[in-house]
Amino acid sequence: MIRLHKIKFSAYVVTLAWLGCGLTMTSALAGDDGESKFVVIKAAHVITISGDNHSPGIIVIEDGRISAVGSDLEYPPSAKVIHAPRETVTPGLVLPRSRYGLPSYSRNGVHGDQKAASEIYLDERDFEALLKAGFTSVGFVPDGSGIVGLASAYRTAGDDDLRLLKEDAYLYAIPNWQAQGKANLRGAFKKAQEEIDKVDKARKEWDEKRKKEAEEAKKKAGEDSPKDEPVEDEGDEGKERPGVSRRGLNGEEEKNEAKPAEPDEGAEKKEEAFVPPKIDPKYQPLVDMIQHKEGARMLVRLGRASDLLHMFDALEGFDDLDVDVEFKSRRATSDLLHVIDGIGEKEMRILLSPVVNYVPYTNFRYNAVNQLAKAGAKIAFVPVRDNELEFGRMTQRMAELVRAGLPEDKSLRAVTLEPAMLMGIDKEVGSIEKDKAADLVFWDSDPLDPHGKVTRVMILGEMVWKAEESQ
Amino acid sequence: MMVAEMKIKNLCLLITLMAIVAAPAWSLDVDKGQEDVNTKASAETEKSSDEKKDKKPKKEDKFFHLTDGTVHTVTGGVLRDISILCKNGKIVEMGQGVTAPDNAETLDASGYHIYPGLVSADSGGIFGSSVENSTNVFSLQMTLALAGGITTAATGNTAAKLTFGSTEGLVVKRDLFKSLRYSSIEPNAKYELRAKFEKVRQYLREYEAYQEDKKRDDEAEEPDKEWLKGKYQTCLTLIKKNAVAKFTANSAHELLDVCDLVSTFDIDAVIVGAVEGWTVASELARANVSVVVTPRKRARSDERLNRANGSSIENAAILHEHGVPLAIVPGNTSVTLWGLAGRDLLHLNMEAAFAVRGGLSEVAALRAITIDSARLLGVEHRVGSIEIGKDADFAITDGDILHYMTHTRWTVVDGEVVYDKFKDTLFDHIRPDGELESPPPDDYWPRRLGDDQ
Repeated sequence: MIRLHKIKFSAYVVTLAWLGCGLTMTSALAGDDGESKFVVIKAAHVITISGDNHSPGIIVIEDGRISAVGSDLEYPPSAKVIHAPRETVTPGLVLPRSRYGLPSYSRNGVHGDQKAASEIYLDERDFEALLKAGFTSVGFVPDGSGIVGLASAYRTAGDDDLRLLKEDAYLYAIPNWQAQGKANLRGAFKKAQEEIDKVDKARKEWDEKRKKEAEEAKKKAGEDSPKDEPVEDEGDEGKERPGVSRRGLNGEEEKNEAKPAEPDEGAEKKEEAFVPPKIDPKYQPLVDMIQHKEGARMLVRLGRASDLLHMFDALEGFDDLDVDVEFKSRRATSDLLHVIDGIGEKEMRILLSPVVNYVPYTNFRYNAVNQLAKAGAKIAFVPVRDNELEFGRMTQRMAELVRAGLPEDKSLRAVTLEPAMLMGIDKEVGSIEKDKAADLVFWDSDPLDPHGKVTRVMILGEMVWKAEESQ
Repeated sequence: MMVAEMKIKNLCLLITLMAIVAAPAWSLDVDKGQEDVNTKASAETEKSSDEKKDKKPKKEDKFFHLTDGTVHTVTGGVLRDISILCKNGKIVEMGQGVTAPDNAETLDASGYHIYPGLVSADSGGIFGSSVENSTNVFSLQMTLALAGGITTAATGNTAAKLTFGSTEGLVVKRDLFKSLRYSSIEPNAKYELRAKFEKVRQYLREYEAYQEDKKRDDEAEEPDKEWLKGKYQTCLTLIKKNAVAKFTANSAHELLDVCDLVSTFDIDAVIVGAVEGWTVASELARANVSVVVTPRKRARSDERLNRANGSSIENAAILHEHGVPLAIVPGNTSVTLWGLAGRDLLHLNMEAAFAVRGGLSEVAALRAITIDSARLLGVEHRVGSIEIGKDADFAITDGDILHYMTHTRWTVVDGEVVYDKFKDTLFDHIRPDGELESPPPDDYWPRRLGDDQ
């Protein structure tokens, strides 16, 4: 992430100093002469997902990032032009939950300190299957059951240094709903709250102690009025510090929590004495969620419709948690229909497979995904299975849903922008927008055409994969 | 109430006017009939400040109005053209001309029979291994059981409600019974259990003596109670009547053995099975035990025995005649679709009807699957009959519940319609009245493919 920012920076401040630095990374992306490297794609259609579609469409890419998109754009004559007169360009597809190619293992309990990134060795992985299906980003999750750990988002190709998109994309939970899953989930959040209370208590005690000391100092010093004020200020700051219990009596306190941890840092500079008790790292992501830290989110896997209600029960008392759900969708026995309206009302994000369902135990077909979309839910897709065959079938299955009533734009959004939002990488990928990375897919026809195939894949402005026929 | 409050308010209006004006927004509740905000505010100001702090936004009262049905109250006879008003899942009013508030959900039950939701003294497969944590509240099993009119069932050692579509209020009562084995098949276990009861009784006698001694002698020694754990503790709670014992016994001598144990130590007990209960009915009645019977259970009689034995169609009737409290359960207490159809939990009412065939009165048969069953489980204060203050659980049928052609039209749990025959795909097509071609209801769900395009 840090390096990416550097590149962005270099795009604006094009100086020869960069040349002097001689960073291999920049030379890979920027021209040897130190100027921005422009790439222009002239395609038959450009589907942006977030904005208007353009036919024909032009995408201007500057140093691996999209700088403009439209039908009629000007670009520097030095730009490298990619002609795709018969191709449709879409943002790269995003696979938000996968263990493709990873060995399985079993592990139970709460593991908020574990990251999928620790299992990924990019040099030994082959992402060809994903590229072929048009996926440019993939979120790997740890295995096991319970709160299994943090998902890590990667690019499926490109320079190894730039592959990691986000190490802590989301916390993944696979409660064993048939047994103690609900109790364990509730227990985990209670424990996290205890950790918060522990810090609060220590802070309070410390504040009081400090106040007393200040008072004593005041008594001793007599008339040292200029000294008093800063001391009192510090005391006040301590009181309204974030991380105070989430069960605030009024909204103000909660607003304070929502702020990032700046005052903490400030306080530490001023007052070295207070060392907060350590929060169990296993519970840190949960603590962040309860305190509404930016980007702290969880994906909970559900097996049956009933589990959603159990999940609400388990998380009762913890308001406004950023929780998305994954529904293990089965064609014939998914009882999702019972909770569709409920999910829609809450405008939740749901991750599921693009399949047309049957009402359980009947031969009535219904389009659960479309009903969810109509009810107001945010939909993200994940392949039916974690294998090459299903990666390739993804768009085909989506087309089936579209034929059964799902609007086309919602279908494409569910495989690009929504999963990117789910992983918190939507500022980087997920749509064709200015300043986003040029992670793009070229299709030989409409992506939802049953015969449509991926012809080329671009990551950060570099062509990383080409279908054999088109070479 | 409100009028009185208003009068009081008028008296102290001048004094509290400032407070009223300053009353914060929390007093703007949306309760029924609370138009006069100022009145409420003044009432609130009189309350202690602690109460104000604890005040949370109240849930709006939920009314359910069941109109013009034939109500089989079970405990109070049959009432015709009666309306029942329920508030927040409890029955609050019933009778003719009951008016409901505007926001009440109304169900017109004219032409239908309203029974209390049936209570099954045993069940399997409806609830999860941990009732409140892992029950699938959308399961087919639960729907089928509801279609059978069942709203409460015992599972394992817990009595639970079939709250389809909601995880609230599942558990009604925990720790129903202390299961004990006392059978001539296991003579050792039988001997040991009796010995344990003896020892506990002896301890209680010694303890009583010790308490007497203590009054006179300060140095009296308390009897040792280190050993009073596990099974002994169970025996103690049973002798103290803090729990109910549960035995499984079928043959006459097994039943008599249990009766002997129960009356010797004066404990509350339930016997499951009691196939030969009809041969020892008076002994069972004297021992004051309740029984759970399956009228269609068959046991061949052994002609070598010089006593009446084997199963009898009259079992339930004879036991009832002798005053033994009865609960009826089907042969298989799960919802099964294999084997002999009609002998599983889907047909609890048919099992009771079979007892009627053996001479049990219809009233007693209905009681055996409602209030008597609830009493046996110790949940009769909430379910089992239609009475004011009890839970709003109903099985609304298109005929006499003990008739074989009768189907459940709606099932209501806690004032919510949780099963609607016409909306569920299970029995929708079975319409003895011949209205098969009638279109599906407007709010039919699921909306089938193509309906919405």
